[in-house]
Amino acid sequence: MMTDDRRPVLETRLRDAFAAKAETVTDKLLAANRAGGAPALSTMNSGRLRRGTLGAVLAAAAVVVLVAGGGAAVINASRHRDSPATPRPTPSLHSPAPTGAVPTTAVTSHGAGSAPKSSVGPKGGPVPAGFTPYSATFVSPTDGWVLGNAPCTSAPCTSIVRTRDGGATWQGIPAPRTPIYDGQQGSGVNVLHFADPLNGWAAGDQLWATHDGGASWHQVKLAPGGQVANVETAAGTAYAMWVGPASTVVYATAPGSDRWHAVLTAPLAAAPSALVVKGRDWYLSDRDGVYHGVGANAPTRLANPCAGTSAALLAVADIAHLDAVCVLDGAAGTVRFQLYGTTDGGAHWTKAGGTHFAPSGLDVMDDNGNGVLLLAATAGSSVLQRTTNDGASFTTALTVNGASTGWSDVGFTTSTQAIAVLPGRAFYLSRDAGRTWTRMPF
Amino acid sequence: MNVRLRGAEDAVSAEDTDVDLSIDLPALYRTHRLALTRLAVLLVDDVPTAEDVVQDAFANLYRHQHRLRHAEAALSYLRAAVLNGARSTLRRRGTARRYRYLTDPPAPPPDADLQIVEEHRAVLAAVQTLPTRQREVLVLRYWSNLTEAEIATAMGISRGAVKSQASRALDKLEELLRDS
Repeated sequence: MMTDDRRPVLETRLRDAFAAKAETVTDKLLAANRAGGAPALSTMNSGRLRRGTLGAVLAAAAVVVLVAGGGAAVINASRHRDSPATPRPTPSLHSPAPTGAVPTTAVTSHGAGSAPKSSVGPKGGPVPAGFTPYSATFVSPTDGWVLGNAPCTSAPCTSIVRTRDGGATWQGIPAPRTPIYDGQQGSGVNVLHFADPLNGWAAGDQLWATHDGGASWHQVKLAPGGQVANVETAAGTAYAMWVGPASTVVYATAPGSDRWHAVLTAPLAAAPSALVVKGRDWYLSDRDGVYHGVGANAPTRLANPCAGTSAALLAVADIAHLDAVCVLDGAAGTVRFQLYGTTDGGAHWTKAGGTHFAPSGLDVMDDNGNGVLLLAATAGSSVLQRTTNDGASFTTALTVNGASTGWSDVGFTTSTQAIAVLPGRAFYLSRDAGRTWTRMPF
Repeated sequence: MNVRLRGAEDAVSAEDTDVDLSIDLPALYRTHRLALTRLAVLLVDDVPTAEDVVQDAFANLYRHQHRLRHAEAALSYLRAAVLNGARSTLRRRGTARRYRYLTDPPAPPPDADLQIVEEHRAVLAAVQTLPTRQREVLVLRYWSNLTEAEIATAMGISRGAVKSQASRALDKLEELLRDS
């Protein structure tokens, strides 16, 4: 009989081996099999028509699946098709961009008509009593998920709730069987991100994935000993920012796959900020500059707009128009900051407005691509600040007293809808581009 | 085709033949086809056969959908059908092997397996030597992350049997891997 302390090792080996084998099967491979003459749903079953009385029924099933679903090969070939590039000729901060902008942080875009329908995924049950949010993600104005915790009798008590009507109603769906990670001790997840209604990730010092809308979750291994700080997706690629003891690594994968490959390894001493993704471009800033990558290609280095002061807090309206907040100085829980903008993809930066003050913990910034910039900060109280005049002035749109954990997942889901999460406290939704906010009940 | 639906009896009722549950079969196919094919490939070892098994499962679901007691049971039904289909495939392979000419060369490994590191291959090879039910329990538990109750439903056995099969399988695996 095997001893108990050896069984976890064997179980880990089993999980890893099964994952390695299962990951050899991909949507691409299945589509290629069909294209190469392997049995397709219709031809395979029509062959059996000749052998049994069930044939007619089976063939009918095949036709229904193939026709009503638009064709299996078509479905899977298009599931992760890159979004068409949206022309964005106008600057973000310096003049308003067109409406219907592609969302950025905490938000995912996908090509119209190519994304899986929102009806996919588990049916959902009641929201667990006492649910408290930690992270939120939307893939459309209506379809969103919130990762949280709820009291339960048998740990882990990690829960996920889903909405298909823009937050009017919520349903509980399966969550990864791992605890909420507090960022310091223990192990688990505290970040949730969906690329589309099928593919999502829960991250912390572990990374879990779902490819069936949250019906089932499985753990994905990246490098050990670190933490996945955030996961972002855009234009058919998912990116994970992994922060380890000696380095920061940006991994990339296709949303339907669990094979992640490193596209950047940077020294930890560079103190990177959050990963920002827009279209096929991703950005990661540190004190020495801004890494700018396109897909899985090797990144280039842009100048740090905050040279000599801090790493820039970035927001991206489009590949030409970026915003950066630089911390100049501060004291007693308050910082003075300067907003910068660029209209040439980061080659040159110019000041936008004067200097302003915010709580010292600047967490997240996002640009709706339509002249509105949100800035989230926490020090004693948590605030959401907003500018609509290129940084000439900032107004406080929301203040939450007594919160000290900092914001997560502050971002626009459309040009007018925005979300913000105070981990362990509350989830807020705005439907007027961040001017007013409503705390969502669960 | 003769795929039994053992394990999904709780979801299927002969009395409920007139109930319209409006199962969105194309959506189910889009959502679960890849995951079920991955489950199947762990049981039958090659992708074309795994695809075949999964196609059969969906065709059976279409045929029996009017007998499901509730729409949520569709995934349990599909899972059970994949398990049964994989068992049937393995039985057919066993029969075919007994009648194969001795000069037949062994089938080459799928190219995809070349991507699997040696350590994982050793574990997978050891799993392949286990009895079918033990292998199924391990796959459902450590790949599909199902609970004991869910495994019991999928396999049509008791929770106690799931526990004992898993324990025996792990003991045997430990022994095999220690000796390899």
